[in-house]
Amino acid sequence: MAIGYEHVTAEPVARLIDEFNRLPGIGPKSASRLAFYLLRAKPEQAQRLAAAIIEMKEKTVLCSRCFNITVEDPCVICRNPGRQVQQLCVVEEPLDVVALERTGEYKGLYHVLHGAISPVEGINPEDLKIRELMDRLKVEPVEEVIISTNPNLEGDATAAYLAREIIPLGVRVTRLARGLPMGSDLEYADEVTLGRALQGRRDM
Amino acid sequence: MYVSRLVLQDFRLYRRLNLDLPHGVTLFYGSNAAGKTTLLEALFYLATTRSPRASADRELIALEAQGDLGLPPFARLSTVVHVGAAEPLKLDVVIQRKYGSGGDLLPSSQKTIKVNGINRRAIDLIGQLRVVMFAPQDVNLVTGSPAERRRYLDVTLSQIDHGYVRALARYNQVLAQRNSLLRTWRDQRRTQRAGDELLFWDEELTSAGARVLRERRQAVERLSKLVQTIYTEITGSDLELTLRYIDTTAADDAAAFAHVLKQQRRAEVERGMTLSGPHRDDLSILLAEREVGVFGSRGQQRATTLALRLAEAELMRERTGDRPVLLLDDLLSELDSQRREHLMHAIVRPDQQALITATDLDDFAPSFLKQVTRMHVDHGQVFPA
Repeated sequence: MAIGYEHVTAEPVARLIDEFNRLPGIGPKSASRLAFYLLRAKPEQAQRLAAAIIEMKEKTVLCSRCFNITVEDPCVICRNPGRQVQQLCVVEEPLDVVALERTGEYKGLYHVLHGAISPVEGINPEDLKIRELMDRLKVEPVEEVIISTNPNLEGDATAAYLAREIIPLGVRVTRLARGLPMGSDLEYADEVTLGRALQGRRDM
Repeated sequence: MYVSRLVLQDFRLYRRLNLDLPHGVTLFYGSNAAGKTTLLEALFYLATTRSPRASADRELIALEAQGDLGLPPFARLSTVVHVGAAEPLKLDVVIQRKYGSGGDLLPSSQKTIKVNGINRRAIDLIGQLRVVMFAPQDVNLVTGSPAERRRYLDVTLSQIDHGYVRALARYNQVLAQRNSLLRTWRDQRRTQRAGDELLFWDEELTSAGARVLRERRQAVERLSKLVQTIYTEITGSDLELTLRYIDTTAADDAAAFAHVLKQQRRAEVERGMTLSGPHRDDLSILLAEREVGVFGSRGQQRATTLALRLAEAELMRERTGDRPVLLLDDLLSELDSQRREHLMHAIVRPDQQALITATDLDDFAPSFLKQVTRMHVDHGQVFPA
């Protein structure tokens, strides 16, 4: 081990540091900072954290309709009678649902694919919740599918695949607009983003 | 353009270096393994984010390097670039090892790039500093595999044209995905089917590929004229030296490229790879209509290599309006006096910065030594002479 804390640190602390270190975005330095913070924190705080982690793992499932993460199946969005069933927004990850909900602009339903097509990583259409999406389109009164995969190569590949599969069903397929972020300066935009924004311009 | 400073920390055998560089010609001399080539390598890296000789970035980090306070070991490179009267640009690259989940060092490393103190992507660094490197192994350009010649075109064009870097990066990214898909199909013994998954990758591959092809063809056309003139000047021979782009698609645009892909679909699925495109193309180098790499004498091959490098520098000057920094690694000892004379002439002129390495000062004429700044390199330290 490169840091050498295991020689001077009590074994349970070292173990917690190792566990934190496994998490995404957390390096050895942050891992030890978190562990030592919890060491000094009140016992209740550590209990709450431990309980929250266990409860999350035990009590959550995937919604059988939209495959978002939920406590009750179907999830709150799918159960909400106020949502517009004619619109279906397709996203890569559950976090994308959170981001779209935060806008308050969207009142339709979702479908979470749990990934994007990437042959290099061995992720093909059959590894995503695409068959489930096609099944939904056959029974639900969806009029528009809004493809909201990420604007990168893998997200675009997924979008292209979905469009080819869905359009023959006679359902309208749209893709999130791409372009300039709010509050940005034209002169600092990279040429790809600016080019896309130009292609996607609108009448005023 | 020129660089006024080179700062290294834990880069190969340099623990710490803080070097001011003059605008003109600098001659680094010292014994073998003193660290002369490493100075040129550092500048090449700052220009292209690649080393001309290391296969993995981690090899660039000094063995003794220590990270701060539990951070993995890293190397730091920094330079200041002057272009015309514009504000100088400060370029920084940090190459850092990574820890695995158990605290062990991983084989991969990551780089952090800053331009004027602001974090940028590698793609945005390339072209800020333009260099042409002359190395003893350059003769591989003529005698080696097609990959060497594609790299020659790619390194040159990437530094000139930002759009080329993007198109090439996109092309390689799509190519990797497309090849993976073809491999999967081969392994599953699957052929075409409805809702063809390859269509998207074909479209992306051909639109990025067409851009790469167009730029390469244009560059080769111009380079061919440049090498002819330079070759005649260096050798005094009237043999005709020409370059020809050998393309595996014979496609003029994305649509023609897509047509080629469609026609060889079955073969591609059988072999599990993309069979034609810029990644398989070559550059044919002909002296009096015969391949120099096969039929040329050793002397003709050396002169051709030199002409290719000088043409590269000239193309950069034409396209950007500015002379690139020349990095000449231990080259003069290999050339005969006529060729050396020509090279010296190309190097010592106003507005041209050049960094040269040599083991022996006796290889140089006293008149040349008078015009250059000499620096002695010894065990990872540089001393003004």
